[in-house]
This record gives sequence, structure tokens and C-alpha cells, in this order.
Amino acid sequence: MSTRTTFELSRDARAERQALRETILHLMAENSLSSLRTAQEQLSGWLERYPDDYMMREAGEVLARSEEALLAVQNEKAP
Amino acid sequence: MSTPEPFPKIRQEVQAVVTAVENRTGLRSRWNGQLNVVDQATADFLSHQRFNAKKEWSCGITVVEGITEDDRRWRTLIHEALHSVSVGLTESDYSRYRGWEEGIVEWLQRCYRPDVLRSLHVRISEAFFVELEKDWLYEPYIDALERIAGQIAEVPAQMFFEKLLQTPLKERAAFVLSWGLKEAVDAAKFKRVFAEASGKLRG
Repeated sequence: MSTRTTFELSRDARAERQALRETILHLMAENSLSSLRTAQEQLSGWLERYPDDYMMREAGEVLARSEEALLAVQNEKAP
Repeated sequence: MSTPEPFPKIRQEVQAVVTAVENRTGLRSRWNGQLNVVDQATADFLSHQRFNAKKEWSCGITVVEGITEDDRRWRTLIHEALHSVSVGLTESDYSRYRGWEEGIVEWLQRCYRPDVLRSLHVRISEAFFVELEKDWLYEPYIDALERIAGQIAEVPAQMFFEKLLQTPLKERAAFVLSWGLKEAVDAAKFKRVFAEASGKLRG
């Protein structure tokens, strides 16, 4: 397996990745199902182009856990 | 006749890491022994979620097959094992106090990792992980926790993070506030730092 790091990305790709990171953190702070799903869609788009970006894929674990937790909380509250 | 275990090596590794984490924290893992190894393409096709590994709320652990031979997996496995021992980790509390869980687990992952890998006879340079972890997306959670810890005199950072891992997730913020008000060198400064940092640790 290759071990791509951000340093191997072009300058434009690095800038795009940094912007994506900030967007994901912003969406997570909203902590709604729609914001978490939007963050996951954006992450998926990145990973389709850079599938071996290990640390960005790892960031998805927290998004997935957050979405599942929020869904469970909402289901508990549902009548 | 029983079906052979499809991924015996990664199962052994997860079991060894969970045991090592239990030994170091003195906490019992809630991992139920279930290990799902999923093919990345299938996982991507079936789910909108992307991840390398995760501890499921049902207390199984899911690992993406693509990482099972990747040296970076060790940090991920230790991180997930720490979630499995973290006290009071529930969906509702995670939703409210995500940073109080992720920051603590990741800090301890980095702290325990050299010793855990040594005990498992895994030889990978610490520099390899340190370089990788400069890029962890949720670094602001660790920064916030370290700022709070820095205000409490005479408490080694490892003890601070271990104490929090042993405290139920929903009580961690209140526990630290009470601790800091008693032990901080400058209580007023501690309150300011705590207020600013705890805002970053929610959600």
C-alpha cells in the first residue's frame, strides 16, 4: 500500500485539502444530521480522488460515529 | 466443522492491542469480540461513511481490509481500543461531548503507543507516527485539553488524561472544572481558559 502524505500533493491540492478540513470542522460544529452528512459527502468526494489519504479517511471515523450517535438520540426522542 | 477465521492476523492484533490497553488503563474493554473486516470498495458502495476502523456502538470493531497490512493501522487500532475502555461512552453523551472523548482517546493513543508496540514486538519508528499525526483533523480537541491541563499545577499530563478516561464522559467537563478550581495556580485564569477550551470540545 502506498503511503501518500500531504507533502506529495500539489500546492493546489494541499490548499483544497486544507479548505476541506476547515469546512468539515465547521460542519461538525453545527452537529446536525444534515451538516454531518454534508461533511461526509465532501470527504467522500475527496477520497474518491485521493483514496490513500489515510488521515483524511481516519477523520471519517469521527463523522460516522457522530452521525450514528445523533441518529440514535433522535430515535430515542421520537414518539 | 467450523468455518476458518477469514482474517486471523488482524483479529490477533486487535485482541493484543485491546489487552495491552486494558493493562495500561486498568479499565475493562467493552469489545464484544466481534470483528468485521470489510472490503473498501464494498464498504464505499454500501455506505456513505468513510473510515479506516471504528468501534461500533454495538461494541464490535470494524476494520477496512485495506489497512490490515499498513503500518499506520497500529495508531488506529490503539485509538479504537481506547474507545472500547472509555467510561460512560454513550451515543447521547458523545453527541454533546465529542471533543472530551476524541481528544482524550487520541492523546492517550499517542502516549501509550511506543510501549504498546514494544510489548507486541512491533518495530516502527515513532517519527513515522509523529509526522502522520501532525495532520490529525481533530487536533483542536487535543490543544484545548492540553491548555486546560496546563492550568492545573503539579498534575502530570498523563495522569490528567487517564483520570478523564476513567470519568464518565458526561461528567468530564464538570469534573475538570471542579478539579481546576481547587488545584489551579490562578483560579481566575483557569476559569477563562476552561470556558474558551470547553466551547471547542463540545460537538
